[in-house]
Amino acid sequence: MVSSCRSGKQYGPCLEQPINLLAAFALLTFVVFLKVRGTAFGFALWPAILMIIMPMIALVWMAFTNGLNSLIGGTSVAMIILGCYLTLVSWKAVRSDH
Amino acid sequence: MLPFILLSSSLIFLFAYRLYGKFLSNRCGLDDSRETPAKSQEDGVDYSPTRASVLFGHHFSSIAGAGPIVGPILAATYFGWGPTWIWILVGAIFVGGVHDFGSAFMSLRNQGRSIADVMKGLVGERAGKLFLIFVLFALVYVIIVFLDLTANTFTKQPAVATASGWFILVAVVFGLLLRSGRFSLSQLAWIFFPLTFLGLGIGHYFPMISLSKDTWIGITLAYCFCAAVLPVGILLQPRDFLSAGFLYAILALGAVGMLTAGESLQLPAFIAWESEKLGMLVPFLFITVACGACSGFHSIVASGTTSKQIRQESDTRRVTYGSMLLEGVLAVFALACVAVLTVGERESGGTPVAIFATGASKFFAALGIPAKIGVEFAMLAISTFLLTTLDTCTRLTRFLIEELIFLEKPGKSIPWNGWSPPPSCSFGFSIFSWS
Repeated sequence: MVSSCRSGKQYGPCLEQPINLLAAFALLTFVVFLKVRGTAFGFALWPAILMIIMPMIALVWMAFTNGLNSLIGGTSVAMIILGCYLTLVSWKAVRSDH
Repeated sequence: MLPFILLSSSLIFLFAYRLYGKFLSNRCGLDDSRETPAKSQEDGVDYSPTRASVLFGHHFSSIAGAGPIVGPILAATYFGWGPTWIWILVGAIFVGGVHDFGSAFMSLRNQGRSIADVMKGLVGERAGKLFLIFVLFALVYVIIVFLDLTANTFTKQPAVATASGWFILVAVVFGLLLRSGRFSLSQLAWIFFPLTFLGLGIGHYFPMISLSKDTWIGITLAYCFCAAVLPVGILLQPRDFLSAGFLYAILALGAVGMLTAGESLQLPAFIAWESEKLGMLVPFLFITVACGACSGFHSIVASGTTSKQIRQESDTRRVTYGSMLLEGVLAVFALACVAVLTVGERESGGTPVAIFATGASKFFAALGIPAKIGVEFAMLAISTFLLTTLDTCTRLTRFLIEELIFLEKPGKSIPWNGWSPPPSCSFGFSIFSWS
């Protein structure tokens, strides 16, 4: 238990960006939700875009500076792939006719 | 300059609440005639209609961990107070506030389900599952970090450990008395807020016996297990409500002290576009100042514990958007705390939490509060918030595991049975052993 607590802390630097990425996904979901209800969603869209771009740049930067073979670099790449996938499917949902 | 920063920020947030908060409410069509999940699924455990003032305290305490303090202090130290201040203002009003409000609102309109479950319905099954697992990992990370911070604080400051134990005891009594319905909230608040503050003195004069960090981790986890499975009105909600009083006091005393102290800014408005420690200003300013401007963790709280307690839809604006803006005020206060310290004081302070406590004690000193007591008070308030975030996190993890387990059966209600051990204990225990 205690050792898992200590080892888990090593992931800290590469998990701060995903916490922000999480905000982006929540905002994107809100955009889709508003779209489905037929409500104007511009006020939620630009914060979503901002919150996608910033953590993604940070993740790319961390992947490059730490190298793909490192724990931080590898996790960053995994987060980038997950982020791209969720952004794409959310964007598809925004564009589709509900 | 400092009083100007604090006063103008507070005024901007106030106007934002009145104008942009109203805009959000109108745009989303908050409707008090609709039954909220707290009422339609009331079970006295997780779903419990709660008055907005109590829920505000719970939500605010849960989202305001160390984040709004540590982030602004780090960002201001490496990039300067100017960009940090601007991002806090813009972020809290237009990004974080919208994010928190939207998350709670979507959950309200989806039977109190989490943001990940809402995404499943709107975007797709696979995306929803991935998002849910992603959120779970993020929560476990938050639990690990906060558990470590809390255990460290209790080990190094036994007075804080005593005071935290006292708060829990006081909160349980407060929660039980409030549930009994014999006393009004205001009557209890008049008695229990002073009792909460009494914990500061009790901790000071009766510090806890020295225990190892590992022991504190075990004790804290045991407490989190209880907080995750007990009815929300007994421990989590009253504790957070009373804890919020601490932060209101810190902000009020700090603001008055700031206005009277006459301290000047020691930190430049702008330092550099790039810092060796944090990286480039864009994007790392936006990453470093998360909780004070926008944090994904808030969406889990807003769509987790908070949405299950909202009594009427119009409370959403006050509870979520209002909490985010108040957290912005806290972030600005943290910014002021680091800005008044000289380079030497900042370097000797060490951790951002210690820097916050030292800066805050300078403002308290203007009101005649000795520096040592001021530092202890600030440290205690921070540790209180670490623990409130930690226990809420554990409960949220339990919710998400429940949703993950029942993911294949959409619409199936979680088989709660009040105090009965299964499934509450099994879920709680899984968190306990997992952590």
